[in-house]
Amino acid sequence: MVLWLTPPERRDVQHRFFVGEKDIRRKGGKMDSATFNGRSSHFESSTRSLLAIEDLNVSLGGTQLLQNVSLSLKPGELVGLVGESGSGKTLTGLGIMGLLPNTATVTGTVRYDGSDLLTLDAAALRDLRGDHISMIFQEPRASLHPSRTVGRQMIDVLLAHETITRKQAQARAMELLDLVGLPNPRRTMNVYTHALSGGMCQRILIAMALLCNPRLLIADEPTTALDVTIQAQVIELLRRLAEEFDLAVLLITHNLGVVASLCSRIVTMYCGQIVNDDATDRLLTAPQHPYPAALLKASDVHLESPDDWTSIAGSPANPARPPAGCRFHPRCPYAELRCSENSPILEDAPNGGRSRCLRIDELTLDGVA
Amino acid sequence: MTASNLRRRKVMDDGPATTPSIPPHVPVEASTKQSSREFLARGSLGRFALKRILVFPLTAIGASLLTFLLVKIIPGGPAYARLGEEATPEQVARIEEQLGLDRPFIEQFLSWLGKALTGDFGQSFQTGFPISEMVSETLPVTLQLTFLAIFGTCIVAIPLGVFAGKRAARRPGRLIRSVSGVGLAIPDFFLALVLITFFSVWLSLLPQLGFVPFTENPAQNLYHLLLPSLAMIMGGSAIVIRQVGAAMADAMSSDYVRTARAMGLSERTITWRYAFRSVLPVVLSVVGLLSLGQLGSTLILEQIFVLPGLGRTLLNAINLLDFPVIIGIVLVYVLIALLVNLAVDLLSGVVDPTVRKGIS
Amino acid sequence: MTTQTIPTFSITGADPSPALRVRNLVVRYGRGKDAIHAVDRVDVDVSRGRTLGIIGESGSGKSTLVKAISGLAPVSEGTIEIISNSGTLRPASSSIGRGGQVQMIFQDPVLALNALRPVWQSVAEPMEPGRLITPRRLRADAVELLGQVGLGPEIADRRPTHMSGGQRQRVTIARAVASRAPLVMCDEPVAALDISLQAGVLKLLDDLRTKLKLTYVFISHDMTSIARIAHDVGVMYLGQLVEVGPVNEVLKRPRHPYTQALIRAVPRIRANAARMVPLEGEIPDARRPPSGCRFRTRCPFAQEICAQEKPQNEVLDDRTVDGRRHVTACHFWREIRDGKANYREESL
Repeated sequence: MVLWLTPPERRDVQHRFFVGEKDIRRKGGKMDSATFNGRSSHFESSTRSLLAIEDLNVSLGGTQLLQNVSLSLKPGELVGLVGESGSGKTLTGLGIMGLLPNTATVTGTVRYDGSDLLTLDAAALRDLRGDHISMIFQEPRASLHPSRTVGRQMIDVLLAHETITRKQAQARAMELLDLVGLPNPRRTMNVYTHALSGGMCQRILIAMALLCNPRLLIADEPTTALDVTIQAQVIELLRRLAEEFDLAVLLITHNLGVVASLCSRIVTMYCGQIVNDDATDRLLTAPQHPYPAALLKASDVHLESPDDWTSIAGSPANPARPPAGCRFHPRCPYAELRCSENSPILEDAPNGGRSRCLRIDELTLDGVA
Repeated sequence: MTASNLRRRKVMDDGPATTPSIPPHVPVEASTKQSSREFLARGSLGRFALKRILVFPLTAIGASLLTFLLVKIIPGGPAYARLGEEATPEQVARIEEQLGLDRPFIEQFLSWLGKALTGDFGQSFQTGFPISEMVSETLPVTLQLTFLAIFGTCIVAIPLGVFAGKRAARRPGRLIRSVSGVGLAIPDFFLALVLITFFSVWLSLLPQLGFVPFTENPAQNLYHLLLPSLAMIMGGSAIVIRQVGAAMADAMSSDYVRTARAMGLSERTITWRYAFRSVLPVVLSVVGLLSLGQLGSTLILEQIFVLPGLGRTLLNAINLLDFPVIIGIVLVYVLIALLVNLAVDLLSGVVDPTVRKGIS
Repeated sequence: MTTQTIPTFSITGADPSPALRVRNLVVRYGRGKDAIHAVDRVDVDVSRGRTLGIIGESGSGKSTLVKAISGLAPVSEGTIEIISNSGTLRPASSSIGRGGQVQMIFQDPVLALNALRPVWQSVAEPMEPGRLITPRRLRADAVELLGQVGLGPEIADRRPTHMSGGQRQRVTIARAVASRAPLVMCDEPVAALDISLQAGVLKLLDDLRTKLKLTYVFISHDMTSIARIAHDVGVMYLGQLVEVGPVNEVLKRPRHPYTQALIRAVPRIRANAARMVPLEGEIPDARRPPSGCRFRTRCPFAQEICAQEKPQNEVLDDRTVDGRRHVTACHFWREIRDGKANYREESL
């Protein structure tokens, strides 16, 4: 109880998960790097990252929607996952959570703290969700139950993961509601969603996601349905909480402005593939793939000189019928003949990061900053 | 000197010096929730229930006026019913005067209403029995049958509906849906005949007709009501399974269920406390409507199984054109319907917070 | 320095070629204590061939305003005058669409199109009234219009479900201009589109405006779209306008603290751009608007007078572009401009 009063102090949750003989999921405990000395570098790198997705493939109804998605997050890291609709960014998030529809075919590995989530059984995965990894969604009001009070829904989450009394759960819930900036936590506990604004609902969802001190938060378009003023509030809130909770955040959004102001690294997806993975600063100044470069131009806000009309030609590729060669080539201003013949692979880019482009060595792309 | 400065100075001069601070803006939520009148506050359950209950007597009186009117419109009339087709106008006039039928309609209604409010619904033209006694003797049979049917339907159909909704896209869901589709198409009197043929005639397991009051012998009573209620349960379940299944399938694919999953709640909590919780209003209104439908079904089923219920009494009265009995019994049905509606409304208010907001 | 205080929130002094004039418009829902004034005494002027952008948070009443202009929301008080075919202003007819003079483009093209009909039929629908032409001719006209919005003839027979979001929105735009209504209300037409497609649709709207001599009222909660397409901009808060002016003026030199907050809240990509500063709180309940200046409950500069007196509409006459005025309603816009405004005390 007392330990909870300040969020950064983490409880040490006892061995709840056993993978092999060794409990490698001590939640909140800092990884003891000495333990891994002398092991292979691959093992070391995969355990250092909190989340490591390798070659994730997802098919639904015979259509491959995700192709060889590989992506990793370090503890406490804020990473943006951007792309247009249909690029597979939400599917990636759901894939991490194990929330894909039952009809989906999934291959690859999703390592969280060293253990593969794709091989865990339903019960173990359920224990992980909401406790170690939480996810919030785009439509905040629809994401809360309309006829259960806010307090009950929060207490449900706590009681699913902790062995505590209802009273303790209530106190913890109110503490979190206060933390996310709701004016009257005690009253909010007894309120239904129809009496709350979208911004308040999103704050409640964030509070709910953080109830059990998770280490990873996947936020799927958390501000898209909100007004700019409220969007700014929620982004500030996420920034503050990520720091206070030492939380890794995977922010899924189509809004580069939101990502740029929050994340240190940006992963770009196009048509089911990761096409670029770069540090935010480098992406803004010198992008290493034509697609994020074009996205940047399209979302660059010139309120003072709004005369340029940058958009990307054509419409997003359909993963059911991906273009041959590089999937972006029909819309790429730098495409050559070979781009339509050879498929590029995601490889280390010259200035760091990863990029999936055949011409990456010869192109110099302009950033916005 | 600008205009705005001028204006501001003017306010400083005229403005009340005693109120130096900005009046705090009271957000609306704060002002609606007053602790002293919390029970009757806007959107509260108390206020909602009170409104519904206050309206009830008015609806009931309106409904009885309508019933009265409808029965009066039926051609013929009690005098002819009693005297036969060849009655002379003088005889008719005498009988009508005797029965008070020559007075203006509204006067008849008011005097009837005045008596009805004290529990006196008049007597049967044919037998002279007080109607209230006839109702109190036969109503329990009908109510018991309806209750057994509804209770059985809920026990069978709600779990099946929930299961079908959860597995909507897969084989079990589709199977349950198609079977209940067939059930929807079969009228329950036909089902009753099939059941009688099967269980009574072929297997001789259950009695085909007759009735034993519950107070006399509970086991025998249920034994006799088993077949009729089974017929009603089968027909009713088809409706409930379909509706609950569809609503449940919607709820399972909703955003809040996705959130509940993302927060790691157990499948049981998600199914019952989240998905089923939001299906409850649907369950309520379907069961409410079904109760009324089943009450109507008893009219025919009581004939088939020869049960001494209200429905049989009504049909007899209609055959004999026994108008006071018809009015009395129809009104009992109407009152039951109104009560069921009121109960459904109140329960929806409890179950669904947005309903309360919309009405109060 | 003198300041002109004007009774109406009018961006134009004497407009030589008005297309839409709204005076003192009130849209009220409900009655008595709980009545909501979704639009509360709003004046709008749009000159022919121009685009007026209206920006505000949800709950500001901007959607209700354009709905009232199109006849989709009840006008409780005030007047709406719309350009007639002869080019003069006439009081708006009471029908939906104002007798064919006003068209609307909605945010969600999926909901706005009939899913069961091929799109050319949806486009042709507003062309039909009063025209006796063969279906073949009608289809040809519809296909030509679809061509104008950048959709090839192969699209014409598709149903909306077999199209991308950008294509669907182009279809709704084609349908809106098909009726030849001179005034088009655009309700967040690009908000549901991917960022890579937004600029293309905005450019299309702008091209059609010049080509077909249309006049737009364009509402959005997104500053970027407004900056790109509008000539003039009005900022709405809780049913009222707080600032109007030429778009460059207002976005470069916002005078009302609410406008400033909206601009600051826009997430910017540029690494060197100022970090966004969120405005505190949320828009108050429209049933009980704050006294005086409605923005005062969230305004960082609110003082006593802001609660007591509704600010006047003042013309910032040191800044006029092509005869278009920059008007704002704030007690302290001068002090805020000069950086001399006092911040509100915590106790207020």
